[in-house]
Amino acid sequence: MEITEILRHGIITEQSVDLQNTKREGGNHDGEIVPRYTFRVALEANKYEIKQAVEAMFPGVTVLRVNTMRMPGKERTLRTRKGMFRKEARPWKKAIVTLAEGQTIPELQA
Amino acid sequence: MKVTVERPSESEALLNVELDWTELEKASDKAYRKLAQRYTVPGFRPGKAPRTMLERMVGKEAIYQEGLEDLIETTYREAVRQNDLTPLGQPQMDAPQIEMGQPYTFTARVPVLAPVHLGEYRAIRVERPSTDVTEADVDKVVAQIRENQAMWLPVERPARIGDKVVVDLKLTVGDRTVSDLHDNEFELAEERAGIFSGMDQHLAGMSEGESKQFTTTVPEDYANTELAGKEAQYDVTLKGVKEHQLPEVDDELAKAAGEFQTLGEMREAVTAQLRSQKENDARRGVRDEAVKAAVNQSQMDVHPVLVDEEVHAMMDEMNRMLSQSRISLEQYLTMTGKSEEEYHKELEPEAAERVKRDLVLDAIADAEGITADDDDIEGWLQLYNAMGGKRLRLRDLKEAQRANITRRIKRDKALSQLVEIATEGQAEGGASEATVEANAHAAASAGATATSGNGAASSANDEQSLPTTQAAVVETNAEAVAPDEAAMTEPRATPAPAETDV
Repeated sequence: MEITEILRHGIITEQSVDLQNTKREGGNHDGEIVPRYTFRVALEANKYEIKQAVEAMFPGVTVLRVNTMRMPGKERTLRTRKGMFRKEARPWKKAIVTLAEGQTIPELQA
Repeated sequence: MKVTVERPSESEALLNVELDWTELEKASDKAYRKLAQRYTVPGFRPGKAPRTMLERMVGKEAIYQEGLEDLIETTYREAVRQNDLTPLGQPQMDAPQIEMGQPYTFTARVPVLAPVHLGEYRAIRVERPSTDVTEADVDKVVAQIRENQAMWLPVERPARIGDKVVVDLKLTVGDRTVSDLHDNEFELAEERAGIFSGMDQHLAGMSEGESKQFTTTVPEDYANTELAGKEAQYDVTLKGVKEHQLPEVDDELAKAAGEFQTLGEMREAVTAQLRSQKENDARRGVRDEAVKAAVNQSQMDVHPVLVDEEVHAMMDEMNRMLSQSRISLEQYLTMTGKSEEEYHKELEPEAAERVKRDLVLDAIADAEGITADDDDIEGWLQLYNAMGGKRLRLRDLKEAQRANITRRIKRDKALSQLVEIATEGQAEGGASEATVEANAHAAASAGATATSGNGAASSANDEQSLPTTQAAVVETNAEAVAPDEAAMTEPRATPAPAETDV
């Protein structure tokens, strides 16, 4: 699969911004920021593919870990002139990518 | 923040404010928090969007600009406070574009309250005019009453100047008929202006039923140039002569004139009224003169903004007065054929006088250490309420109203003080001291209104100088007690610190 097919787009929300800035607690690395970025990825992409795609898309970053989750498609109500329709939104996959310490992706930094 | 103040004139200040970049940063941070509340960035709850996200949405400059506006406002206020200025209006701002990372400078030009340089107001002396009522004064009024009670009675004799005549009159100039009147009644007068001038002399001496033709010359300065200087032909038939018969001065006249039984009673009432009138006039005269002297002695720089405000206040006042007779100011202006600008111009000189007066009185109040406490305000409100104005209680007063009333009371007190100084050693009139004192406070409290206030009030007083009943006196005083309604409606900005919104 092409990189652009795997990484659909970055996600910037309150939650994702929190993840970018969360500090490690306790241990040897207490207080260090663990840079984590969130993407919408292809439903069929696996963790390894995502790692490859992120490193190719943003040269110079090292992906330490990828966490993925399937987001459920939700039922939506569509109101049109012809009446109400029920429609299922597509399910999708979200990936949270942990980078090596100190690395950033400026395009997604908020 | 660095502020430098220039004074191009005493009534104007030029504030030059320099701001550090760090101050701007701080301000922009505040602005970000404000703007974040206003904009909803997708993915974030209102107010939770990070600054970078908001910058992407509204632009970096917009945030700084917003911060700058707030900063200018607060620093302007601060600058005004630091330099102890009393702005009279909105400042004219010269605020350039913001430059990133650079200190920022803006200038504000603002009209300010100039200090009043009082003269030697304590040295002012005003002669209190005599309030003695002489027999001659009373005779004059009685004669006036006689005149009012007189009747026009037909007589069988040739007409004389001063008689009333009934005539058919045809006036032609050349072949043009200027007027053609039937059974017209008018008084024969020695002097007559306009086209009929010279006519009366011809009519005098005519008897009832007599007809006469004669010519006169229309005056050269007559408004209608076509007729001016021409010969005017008259064709007149006299149909009746009436004589002005004055009633005898006796008890009958007293009964007719009012609720008096005897002539003596009437004369007494007239005397009393004349005295109180003279006292009022004297008080007003002394007050006006003292203030005028104080104003003339003082040096001050009055900013046009103040005069303009006063003009508007006067217009409002006029409007209020007119609205009682259900006329709008616009209607009044059309009636008198004036545009609003013209009216504005017309009021300016008096407005300037009033502003000066108020400023001087304020200055005197300060110089004399005059204060107004709650009791004073309470008293003022009682007067105001007695006037039938909207009922107001001390504790319901808004800050601005309170300040306004306080200022008025202080001015009134300053005025009384000034009068006291100016008339030191002179007894107040010969009349009953008690009533004078009682009135003095009320009159002083309403001083502003009575003297400079509505012209209608004072002219009304003048009309009442023909004493037919005693009620007139009471009314005159009531008028004087009236506190200015304007005080309650809108706090006038005169020397009050103007709102300093930027």
